Amino acid sequence: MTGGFRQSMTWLHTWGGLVFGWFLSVIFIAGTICVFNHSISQWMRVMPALSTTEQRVRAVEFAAQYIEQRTPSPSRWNIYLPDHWVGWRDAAGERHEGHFDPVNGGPRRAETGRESHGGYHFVALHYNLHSGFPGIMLVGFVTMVMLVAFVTGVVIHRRIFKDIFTLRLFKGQRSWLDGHNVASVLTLPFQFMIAYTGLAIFHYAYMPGAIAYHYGLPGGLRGQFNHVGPYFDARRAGTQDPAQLVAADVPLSAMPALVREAERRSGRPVEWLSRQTEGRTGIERLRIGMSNRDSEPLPRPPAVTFQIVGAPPQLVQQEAAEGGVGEASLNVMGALHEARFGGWTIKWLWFVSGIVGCVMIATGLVIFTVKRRARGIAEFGAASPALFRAIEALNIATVAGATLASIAYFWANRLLPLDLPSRVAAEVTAFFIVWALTLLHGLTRPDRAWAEQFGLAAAMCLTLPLLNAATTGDWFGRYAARGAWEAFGVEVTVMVIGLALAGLAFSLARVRR
Amino acid sequence: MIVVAFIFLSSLASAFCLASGMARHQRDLFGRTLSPRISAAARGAGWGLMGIAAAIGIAAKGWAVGIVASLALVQLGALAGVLFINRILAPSRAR
Repeated sequence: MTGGFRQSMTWLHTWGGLVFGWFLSVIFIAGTICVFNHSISQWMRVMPALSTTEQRVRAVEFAAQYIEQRTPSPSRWNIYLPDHWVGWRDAAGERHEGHFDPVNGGPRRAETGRESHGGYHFVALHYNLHSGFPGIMLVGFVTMVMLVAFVTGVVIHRRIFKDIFTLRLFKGQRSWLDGHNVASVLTLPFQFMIAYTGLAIFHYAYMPGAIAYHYGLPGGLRGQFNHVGPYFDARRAGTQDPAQLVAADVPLSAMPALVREAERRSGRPVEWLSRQTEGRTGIERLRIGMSNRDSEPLPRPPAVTFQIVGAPPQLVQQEAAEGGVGEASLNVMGALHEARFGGWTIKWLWFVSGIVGCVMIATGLVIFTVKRRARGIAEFGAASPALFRAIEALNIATVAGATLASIAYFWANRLLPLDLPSRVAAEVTAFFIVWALTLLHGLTRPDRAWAEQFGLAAAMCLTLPLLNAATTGDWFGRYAARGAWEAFGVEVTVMVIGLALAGLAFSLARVRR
Repeated sequence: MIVVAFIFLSSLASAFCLASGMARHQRDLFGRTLSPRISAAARGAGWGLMGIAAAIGIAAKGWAVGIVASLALVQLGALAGVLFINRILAPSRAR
């Protein structure tokens, strides 16, 4: 019975791991990269960082001017400072949006920002594969299978403690299996945490029953995803009397002074301002939101939001909604998954652990084909060679190909013309075109494709500063000189990754020969 | 930064001690197996160092962040230990 059980677990781990590993590889590569998604956005959008209160107050002033020059005294508006973005409605109720220049005022120009999804491309790829709500459901299912793979993997690993530190190198199939085991077993707590918390964040999509029971499902599952359910309004409302929080009647030009006051009182940088009509109560609200991004303890303290009420206008700190234990747990799960606590230390630990996760998946995929080649296994009879070739190509595309497409996305950001009409979408399209090409390459040259794709990715990583200097005049030395440490970090990290990929490409090329 | 380095080094040393308590790695590292008493002492030192890693994290960053950061560093330290033992200290035998 034990043999039979272990055999069926092996089957599940092998085939579940293979088919879902293709998705997981891409999800893990994107997820690892998007630990630094804000820094990548800063590098890609060539945006000056707004690091002092004075800089941010001036940026808010320029944002207000940008809106008022186009629609004097709009009824509703939004300013999102990290993206230098503004959106508003004119007298006829029509929506407008645009990007402003936070340093010189006026519309955004090439030197102070280019259109790009930036690091958010990797976030979207990570949680929904750029496929909206169906993508979220698919990623959730894939993640469930990953949890299954953890359990089956532990079951079929006969010597989990005896072999915990064992890594026999240069021994072909044995080494791949040792590498897979060491990477998985030693970082199992992290990988399990990442998979589990990833599911927990999307509780409203994956386990909608409780919310539907208490609050109904007005927009269906999709409606919940769009955050329009009364559930989210109820969560946000807090305990203050809404009637006392009616927006003060102040012009946009009063905002900079209020922002300065809000930063002084909270000790945090401003992130967004908005004047909106609240859906649940129909009350007009004018709010300033402070950033809650880095260096935070666990569970994260509630975001600081000020309401601007009365005449003369004053700031009233919005009380956090009482969410109870469930809310606090969700808060910790979300912070754990997205490394939104503990500052840069945790971000780096998550980044390195994420790379180990990528190695775990990649070695697992490689073992499938290496094992079959070594033992001459042919489960599909005459169709086996063609099927194994397709499987090899998918392995190549989802591991080496996704890596290559990721650095190609950085290149597309610098190479695509600035006046291209749909530049933002074009960058993402470039990612997918390169990715599709890696699949073709894997189909036509399965023996060489691993080394060639990693080699090209390495070359593109290592020459990124040259491309940057040629297109924007910036490179890591100039970032360091003017203290733009996030952009500096992105470029140097990409080069270090390039060195590692070069080493990988060379050893793969040697193994093949 | 210094705290992170200390936790990581304790984790690395912990992995080295735990591996030194196992017959296979004793052969790789020292060319022979060690006596049961020395093996037990090595394993004890390994667990102790892991406890020290956790204690440093908790003392420096509080219970919540400290435990999470230490756990992540213990995992990565063990992984670095595996690479160190098998790639640098005993590569000829691993080959």
